[in-house]
Amino acid sequence: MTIAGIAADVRAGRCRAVDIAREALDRLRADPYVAVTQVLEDRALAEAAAVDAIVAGGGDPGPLAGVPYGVKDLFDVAGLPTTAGARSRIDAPPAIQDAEAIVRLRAAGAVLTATLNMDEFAYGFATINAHFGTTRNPHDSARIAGGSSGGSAAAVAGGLLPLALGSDTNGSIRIPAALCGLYGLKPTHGGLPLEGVYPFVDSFDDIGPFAADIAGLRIATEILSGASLAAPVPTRIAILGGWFADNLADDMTAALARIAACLGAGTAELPAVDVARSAAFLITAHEGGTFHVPALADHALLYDPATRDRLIAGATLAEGTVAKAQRFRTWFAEQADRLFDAWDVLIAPATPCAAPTIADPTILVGGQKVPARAHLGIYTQPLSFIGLPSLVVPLRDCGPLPLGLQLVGPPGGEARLFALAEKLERDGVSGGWPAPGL
Amino acid sequence: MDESVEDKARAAALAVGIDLPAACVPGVIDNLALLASHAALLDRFLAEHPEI
Repeated sequence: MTIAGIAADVRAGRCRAVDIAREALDRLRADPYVAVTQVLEDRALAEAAAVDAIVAGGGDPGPLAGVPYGVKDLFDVAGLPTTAGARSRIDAPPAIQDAEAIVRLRAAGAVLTATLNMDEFAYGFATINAHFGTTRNPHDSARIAGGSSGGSAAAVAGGLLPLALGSDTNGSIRIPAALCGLYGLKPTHGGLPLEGVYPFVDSFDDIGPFAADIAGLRIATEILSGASLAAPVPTRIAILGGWFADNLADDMTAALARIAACLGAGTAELPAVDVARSAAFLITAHEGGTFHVPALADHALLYDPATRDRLIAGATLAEGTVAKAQRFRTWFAEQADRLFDAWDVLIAPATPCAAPTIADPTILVGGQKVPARAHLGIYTQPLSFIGLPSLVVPLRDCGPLPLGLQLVGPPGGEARLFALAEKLERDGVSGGWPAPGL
Repeated sequence: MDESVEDKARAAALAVGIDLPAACVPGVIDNLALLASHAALLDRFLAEHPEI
């Protein structure tokens, strides 16, 4: 059932939030995707009962009444340690209060049911977690779900939950949304509340929702942002070429051509995207590494080695190098601003290809096999580098596995992205992939 | 492993307060090389565009 459908039924008294929560809890306990890190039964049933009490009293619990959801395991949940996917934080002091995003969803009637798997400290694009396990793609369990918010994506794509929250620093919502056949939003940098979210890279960190339909993503985003996102359907649309047209699998190339024809889209190019990606890499490594220095000095060997060694190397980067990367960032943002003088929305692939296998989690870049964990973000990283909003739409009829496109707007341009995504869904071009077995 | 490379990695880590465990050395060296390649690309671009 959709987010809007659940909320409508609960608000009208046609079904009880407690019953919906119980069904979700049953699914979460049977999770076949290694998506769930903790099922929050007591809390979920209490929140659902509170929703039902409001309905019984003649009140309105809100636009997300009774909608069960989960959060990536880096959102503070009162009373629980915020693990950020790390073994070293399993015994961390429990959070004193919920993250602001959870507070807002609860106020709209949503019911928190689970915490969800991720790459350790959000440093990866694969949700290959040395402690909590590798999250599997519901559309092919031999493949990765993408990351770092892979548990959030797999929980929604697998039909365990209709809604989940993730975080995105370099692509960590957009990549798993695309690989799992879902809608996902990375907002304008700072557009959604980050209070109570375990940090990775302050320059780029954002949070956002996953949903299987654009209407559900809109409801969740409007609740999280506290703003209505109304805009006309944009007409000046361009497909990003250059860097964004290299390294594409044939299915993705064909999908982009279909979209361009459907929308009458032009083409546009950002300069020096390769440098943007490198600069994003450098800032990420340095900010992430510097944040972790005290913990690494104390217990480096408790980290996943693949995360640890990246963080340590990043911490050692010279300040002058990071300053140059930030200087380039300002220039690159100006180039993007100019592009938005001519275009309302830019379209780019979210990933070069469909989900790699767990047995061989690599992709081809420049004809070379490289680890998906570090490189799946080649098209997402240069865009979040300058804080642009990006809404991933899952494509229909694109081959045997999900693929997704980024709809990219200027800062604050989320409303036009939703308007275009809704048109694409109405036209049958995009739509969430049905959960297996449903 | 090249001792001077290992020494440089250890010294860089120590400079930020991390006494590098032996298990971390190969991975840190690999990542330092990767970051150096990104920094070199950035440096080349900025050298060609002094207006930035």
